[in-house]
Amino acid sequence: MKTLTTLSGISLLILQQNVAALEYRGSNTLRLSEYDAQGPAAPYPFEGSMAYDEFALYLQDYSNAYDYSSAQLTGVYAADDYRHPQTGVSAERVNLTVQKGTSSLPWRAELGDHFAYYSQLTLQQSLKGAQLELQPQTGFGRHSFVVNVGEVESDWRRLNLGENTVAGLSWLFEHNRLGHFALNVVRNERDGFALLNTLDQTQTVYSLAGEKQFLIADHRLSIESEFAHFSGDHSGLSGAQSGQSRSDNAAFVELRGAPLSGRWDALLRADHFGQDYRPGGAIITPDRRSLQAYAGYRFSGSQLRGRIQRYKDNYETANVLTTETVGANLSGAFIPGLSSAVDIFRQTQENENNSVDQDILTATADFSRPLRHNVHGRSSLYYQHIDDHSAVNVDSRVRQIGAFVDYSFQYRSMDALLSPGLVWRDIRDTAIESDELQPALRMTLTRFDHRLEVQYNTLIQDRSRVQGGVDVDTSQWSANYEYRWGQHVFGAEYDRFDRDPDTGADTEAYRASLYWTFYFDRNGGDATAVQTVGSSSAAEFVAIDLLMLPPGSSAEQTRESLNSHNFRQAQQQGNYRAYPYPVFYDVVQSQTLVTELSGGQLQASGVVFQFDNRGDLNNIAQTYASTLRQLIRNYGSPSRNFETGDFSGNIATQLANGSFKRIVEWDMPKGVLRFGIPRRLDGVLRMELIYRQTQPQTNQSLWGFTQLQ
Amino acid sequence: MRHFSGHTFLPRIDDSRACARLLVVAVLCALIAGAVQARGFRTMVSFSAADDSTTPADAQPLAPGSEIPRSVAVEALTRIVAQWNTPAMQASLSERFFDAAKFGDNVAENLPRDAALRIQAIRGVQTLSQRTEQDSVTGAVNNVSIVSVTAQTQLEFSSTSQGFVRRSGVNEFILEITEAIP
Repeated sequence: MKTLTTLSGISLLILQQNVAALEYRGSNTLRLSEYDAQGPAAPYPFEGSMAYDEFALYLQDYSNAYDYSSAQLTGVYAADDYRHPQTGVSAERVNLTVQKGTSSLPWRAELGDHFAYYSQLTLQQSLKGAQLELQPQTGFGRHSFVVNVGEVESDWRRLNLGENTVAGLSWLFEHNRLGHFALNVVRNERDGFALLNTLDQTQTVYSLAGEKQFLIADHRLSIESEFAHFSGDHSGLSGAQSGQSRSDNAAFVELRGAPLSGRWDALLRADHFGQDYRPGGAIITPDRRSLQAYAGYRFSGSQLRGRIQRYKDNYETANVLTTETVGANLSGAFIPGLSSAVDIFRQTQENENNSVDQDILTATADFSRPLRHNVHGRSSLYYQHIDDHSAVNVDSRVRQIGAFVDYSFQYRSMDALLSPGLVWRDIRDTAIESDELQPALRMTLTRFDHRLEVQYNTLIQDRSRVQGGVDVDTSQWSANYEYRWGQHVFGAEYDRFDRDPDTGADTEAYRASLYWTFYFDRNGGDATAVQTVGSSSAAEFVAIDLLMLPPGSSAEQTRESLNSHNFRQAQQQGNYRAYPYPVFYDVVQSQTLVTELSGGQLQASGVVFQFDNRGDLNNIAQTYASTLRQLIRNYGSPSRNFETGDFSGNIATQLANGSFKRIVEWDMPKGVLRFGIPRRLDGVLRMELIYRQTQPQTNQSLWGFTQLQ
Repeated sequence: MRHFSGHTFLPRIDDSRACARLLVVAVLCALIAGAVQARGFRTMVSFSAADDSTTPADAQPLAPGSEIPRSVAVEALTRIVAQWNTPAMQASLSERFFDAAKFGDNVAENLPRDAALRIQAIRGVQTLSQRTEQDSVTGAVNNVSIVSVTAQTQLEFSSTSQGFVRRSGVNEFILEITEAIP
């Protein structure tokens, strides 16, 4: 209950933050680019000097959590063939939204660019037009009516009303006991184009969708289904005329299940999509029947998932393509010390006239582990074998191995990340024999407001063993520099492409750009920057921020920081000073602020959190999770997370033998902030948050304030 | 730190009239991946002040003023595109991505191994909707944003028969970005 209360409080914090009357904010970016290419095969089809200026403006009038209006206008002045195909000013996203949630009939209207989403079988499409949603309060379930009218067109300059118009209505009804249901109707009218060999088309799609959740014998089950009917025209299967005045159906049923407190889950799904079921706004594959089954099992620290799928495409033709897949995926820490993911699937494809008949085995594996506290290693394996039984008989085999290292370090107050890598690939089939090597290097340097990133990779393709095969070396490198100065960001980018085939002409190409972005905002007359809704200052929730006690500070600086935050009375234990006062106001566990001083310098600062006396595992797990949430609220998303085992059995013993681990880290300006449950020689379980310049390796379980009682 | 669990997706290679509409999860927090509801039709996000039937577990609308910045959307798309045609692609596909498993299989089987996707230009970026949602597993409350990014992309690879091959197109990517509330 406490957790729910806390979370509700957070939600209220978000929803009830009132912002002053009218706000605006936005940005403007000017970019100048130069493209040049020499040779026959360049990645840049357009060359020369180009420029564009893109702008974004957001306006909002926000009176409370339920009533507001907002407007968005983004656009570009482009003299850049990549940025926009037409020179001149173009609006890109235009949207006006008005919401009245306090009205007797709550409503929300959008004009301009919006995304219409009803269901997978009916409508899932960006539109330029209008959307109105009504949420009447009837006292029986919850209702949402959505009406859309709009044009399918990505470019405002090419907008031609009536060319491809979508109109739709969706009624959603949700009831805790009865389930969730939706009724959708979508109509689409499209002009025909002689160039595309299409006729004028008018089509209407109707669908009924529902989902119901059950609890049966301590198992949570849900069944979902949608049935849809198509009536009208589509582009045709054998000429445009064949698509006129057609009708067909589509449906699916999906059953999901899992025990309330178990480790497995399962999903069964059956689809039927008719040959003439071709709505313009849906994303489905017509003329298909499929059956799919998925199941998963969670082990301690890892999970196994399996799947069996059977597809029959072109089902209503004489040449049905049958695809059957069996696959398994195992991920997690199933190999001690490694974070691993292994995926294997076997697929057979066969059609009636035997033009497709193949058996495919694909296996991938990825492994990673920290090698030292600032070095992370990754490796990947890929294998694929295609056994072709058709008349073409093109068998093939691909083997690939990759290895990468991420090395982070500090150099003269710069944060640096160096990531070298190497991929080896061997491709063999009837037409191709290619030995390929791909070394790569990525380097990122960050210092205050400066950031430099350099990337290089080259692909060496040795195809000399095939008659007529051409060896090719393809190199690409890029350098990006960015500098932030107040509301301004200045940057420079350079990309180079070199292709060197053994025979034939070489290719050299580059793109060089300079850009300047200016951010502006105004918060209802307040000149300060607009605060992101939902964010809050850490100072509101902590008695002292550990960032005020950075490692490396002098003893005098440390004492002054503590005194200024009223941390005065300490207990001395060796190099430790313990202040038994709460640091995080929203954490109810007993807390002690700790500093570790040695040689006149602060070696570490931190907080020790005690678990409640109840000590049962569920309580420990919940306490750990809620404390972590509070820390995330203060310090943001963690940089790293090391998690092994679950809260079961004897945690102290598992900490000792390495089968349990909870470590979360944040990279901070002066070091690394680590939170978790360290092993202690006295067997006491407690959570510790420690700020050090460098942290011990994560496989060292005694990483806490070991001598502090 | 932002984290994207990665996987590949195939853009529709055609003109800008028919943008590919792909649902892609870009998870911004490694610890608190959003519990995206997997059902295939729309869900209720109540904005009625009189609706007292909502619970903390229900999705709540997020007030305006917290649009996903263009730079974040661009970074998300850049990372996802970098995972295209790699085994890491599948993890980036939304649970609501239609036929995600078959799509991943098709990419693995039909694309040359050296095929890569280049972003040539980012065009319009729009935060389509935002809500707060409680993760059913961790209990954490996250901001979930649906963001549309239109990009000029180019597929590139070295063919033994055709040499350097490039196929360009304009695609609309629909990203679902989950952020832990700071």
